[in-house]
Amino acid sequence: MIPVIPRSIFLWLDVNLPGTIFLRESLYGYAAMLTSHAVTMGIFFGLILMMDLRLVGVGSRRSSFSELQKSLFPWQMIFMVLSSITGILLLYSQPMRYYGKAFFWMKMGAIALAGLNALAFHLTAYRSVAVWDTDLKIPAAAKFAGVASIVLWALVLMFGRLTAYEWLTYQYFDF
Amino acid sequence: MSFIEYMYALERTWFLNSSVYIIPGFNLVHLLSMGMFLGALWMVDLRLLGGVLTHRPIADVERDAHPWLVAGFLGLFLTGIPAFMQTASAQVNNPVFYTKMGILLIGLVFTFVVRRKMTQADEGRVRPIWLKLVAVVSISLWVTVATAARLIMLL
Repeated sequence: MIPVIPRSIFLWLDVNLPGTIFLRESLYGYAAMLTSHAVTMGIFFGLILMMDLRLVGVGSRRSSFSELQKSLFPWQMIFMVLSSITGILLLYSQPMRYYGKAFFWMKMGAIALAGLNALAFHLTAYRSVAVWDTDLKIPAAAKFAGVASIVLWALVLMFGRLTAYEWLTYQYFDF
Repeated sequence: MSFIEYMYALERTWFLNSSVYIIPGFNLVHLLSMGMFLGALWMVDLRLLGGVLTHRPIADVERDAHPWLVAGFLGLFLTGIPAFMQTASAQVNNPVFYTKMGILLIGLVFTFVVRRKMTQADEGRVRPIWLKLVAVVSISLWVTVATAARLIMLL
């Protein structure tokens, strides 16, 4: 597999980032970063899931979709920022470890696709939300966006978890 | 058989060791179930704090979230058992495991008895400060459980 960013950049980061060795070598650094990443990511995923289940038509049937989406959005953003900060710190502490992991790059790809899916939904199916906001006759395009969002974010979590194992690790290959 | 020998025996369970993908598979479902559980939990707690769906009755938000909370917990419970079995001796020797399980039991009683009663009660009868306190306690308990859970294998 060919990573998106050249190896030389990661190699440079691995050596030159200020504090990266401190983070890498500290006794509790990894445990603290990984734990806060996993917990904030779990809450983020849960709040996205609660919105998507309503979009698919199986959850939160007593609320309208736009009301649920608008009120959950700031909280989703808070937990996205928190999990991003802790995730970037993990990457910052061991750039070369993650560079060689296929699951890390698959996770980045799934995040990009999940973002594109949300964007596409807002530019298309969401425009007619007033028509289907309160009833459960949700258009197929909107339901599809909901299912795609659940699947893609679930993949993000799974690829993230799998990054911690040693499978598909190409640390010693030079691309 | 002594207690620790019994723990070692659990680790040797044939099914769990029949493939290297079994325990990671359970761990992945455990993680996704945790997401569902925390999402359903935070929906209600954020409503109690006045952060989401403020125009909806608390009881409605709780009734909508409840099946997902139960489903998330069942997923956690069913995948947690094999995950525990495969690492039994390390778990029972780690104080963080007992912290997790102790707070988990308190959390279950609090969420499914105290919080459920409070959210289903007539809204005018409960002072808002109590509802906010319930939300803060609920979030604190379960975030502690999740944090301790992740730390067991790291500390």
